[in-house]
Amino acid sequence: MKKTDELYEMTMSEASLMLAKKEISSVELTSSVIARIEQVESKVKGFLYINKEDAIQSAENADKRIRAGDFTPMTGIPGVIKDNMCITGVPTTCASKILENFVPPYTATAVQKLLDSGAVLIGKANMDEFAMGSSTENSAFHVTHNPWNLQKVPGGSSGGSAAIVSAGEGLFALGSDTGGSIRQPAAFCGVVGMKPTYGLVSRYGLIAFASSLDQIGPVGKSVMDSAMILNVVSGYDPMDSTSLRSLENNATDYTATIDQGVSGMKIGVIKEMFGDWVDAPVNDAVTKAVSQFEDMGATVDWDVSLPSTKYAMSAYYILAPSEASSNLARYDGVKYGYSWDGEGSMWEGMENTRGIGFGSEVKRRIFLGTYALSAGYYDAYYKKAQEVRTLIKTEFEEAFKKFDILVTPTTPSLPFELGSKTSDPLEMYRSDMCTIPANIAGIPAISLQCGFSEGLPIGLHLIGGALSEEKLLRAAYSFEQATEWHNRVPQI
Amino acid sequence: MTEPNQNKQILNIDELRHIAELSRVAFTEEELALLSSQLNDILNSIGELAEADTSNVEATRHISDVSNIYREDVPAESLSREQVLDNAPLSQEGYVRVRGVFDEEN
Repeated sequence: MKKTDELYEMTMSEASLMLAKKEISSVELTSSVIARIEQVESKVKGFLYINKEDAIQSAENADKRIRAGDFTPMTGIPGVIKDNMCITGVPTTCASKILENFVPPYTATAVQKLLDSGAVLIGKANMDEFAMGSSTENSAFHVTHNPWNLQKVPGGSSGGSAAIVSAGEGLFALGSDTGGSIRQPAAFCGVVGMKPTYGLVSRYGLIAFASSLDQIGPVGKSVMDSAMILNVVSGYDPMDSTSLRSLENNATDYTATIDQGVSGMKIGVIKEMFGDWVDAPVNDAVTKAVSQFEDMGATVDWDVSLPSTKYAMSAYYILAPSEASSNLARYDGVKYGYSWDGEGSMWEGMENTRGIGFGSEVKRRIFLGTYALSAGYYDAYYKKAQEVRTLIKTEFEEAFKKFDILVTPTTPSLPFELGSKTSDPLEMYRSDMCTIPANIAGIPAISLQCGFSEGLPIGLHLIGGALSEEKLLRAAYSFEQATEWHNRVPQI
Repeated sequence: MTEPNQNKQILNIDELRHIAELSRVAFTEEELALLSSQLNDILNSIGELAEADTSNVEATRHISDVSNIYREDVPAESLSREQVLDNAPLSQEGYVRVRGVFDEEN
């Protein structure tokens, strides 16, 4: 076990063992995390909501469960939830003015499962408004800073979740990933982030952005921690019609085979996801990481072509805004959320509510989606994008007949300066080039640390076939155990 | 991702105004001008999809192969009226209150 000075520095798996042995209590652990929040949160600004009193109360309950012998590996572990997942009685804003005062009357299934496991929730994490963005600068409330360099973005949209875990202000987080929103911030903040197979984790209670792409997943300090979170949140849920029925009464322990190594695994490097548009330090670190897999006994094909993946970003920026324009039609100022209170007709009420309540990126995507779906353009945009989606999906299916894992960088660049891309949406969109294809194909992918440049972390992106999470986690764990990158922590 | 050689105007201001109206989002002329240039950049970039050969390719409408998910039509517990109305901006006598749908005199 790693020797640490402060309890908040521990990984979840380390803390879990100490809690089980009663070497520490959840109240001690949670208090250490709260002290850390008081120390660094004014610099990181990862939270939208913190409830210290409730956290300590939950920690006391967790300690009772542990004393009574009725506990799980997550009992007593303090963590955070991205602010697009509903929790009864807890403000849930989606980082939008339009939901500023929304207090949900129900709890998301993934969050309920964490609560049932005895996890301690400290607060809600900042994000890009409605999860639309790659830097968390689209939050209507405040920007979050990268713990490795406070002048840099933490990535997005789950930037608060990743920054909080990286800064030690929580031992784990839940994020959501529509085009890279867990993996890209995980890479930028030097933590582990995973997007599971579409349908593995229930989306019930997750505020919808693009329903055919959205998936909840773990943000952790280590691969093992991510597997432990996935154990809790995955599974069939009748409340989500896209939840996979095959998971019913069929729970997988993702930690069980995690240490079985990569010997004999076939790994392919997607050549379209490398090139001069990828920064040299990122390219070098990921290339070295692939060599590491060869050293560990995997077979590597360095030249795998999935030619349609280069269209993934364009297809995404039709599909996701189209679905968003429909999903966000519900914000009309009538049933809940912000409501314009000026004098005017019903239509003026709705238009002003939405004009004032939504930020500029959300409006951009609503307009883009409305345009793509409007009469006369449907075939050229939406249908074409759905056909390209088939091409991408099919190319992945073919590739996974030959390979166990495909590799790309998580992001083409190092974490960029705050403010440097906010005026150029297209440039911002390009930071998700490597992560979007997995959402388009509905398949799992994980980002973990594989190097540093200029004191900033670099992410290795591993993609697996549908429902191959065990294999993906095993590959990631093997790499993590063979390298030292994950042991570095930011000095804030 | 190919850089657009020259950005042609795909969406003019009048079309964008129409899209904004369809979207039920109030806008200012300044907002519209900026959005017009940004959306044209995005649409020019997305235009690369035309290169992809999708003849004889079926559209993927949804990634998982589940379809027609039904449940038994049995009454179950639901949110109370109070819980629902707690979040409504305006309510009256146990109902959500909305602005007049028809002309003022109605």
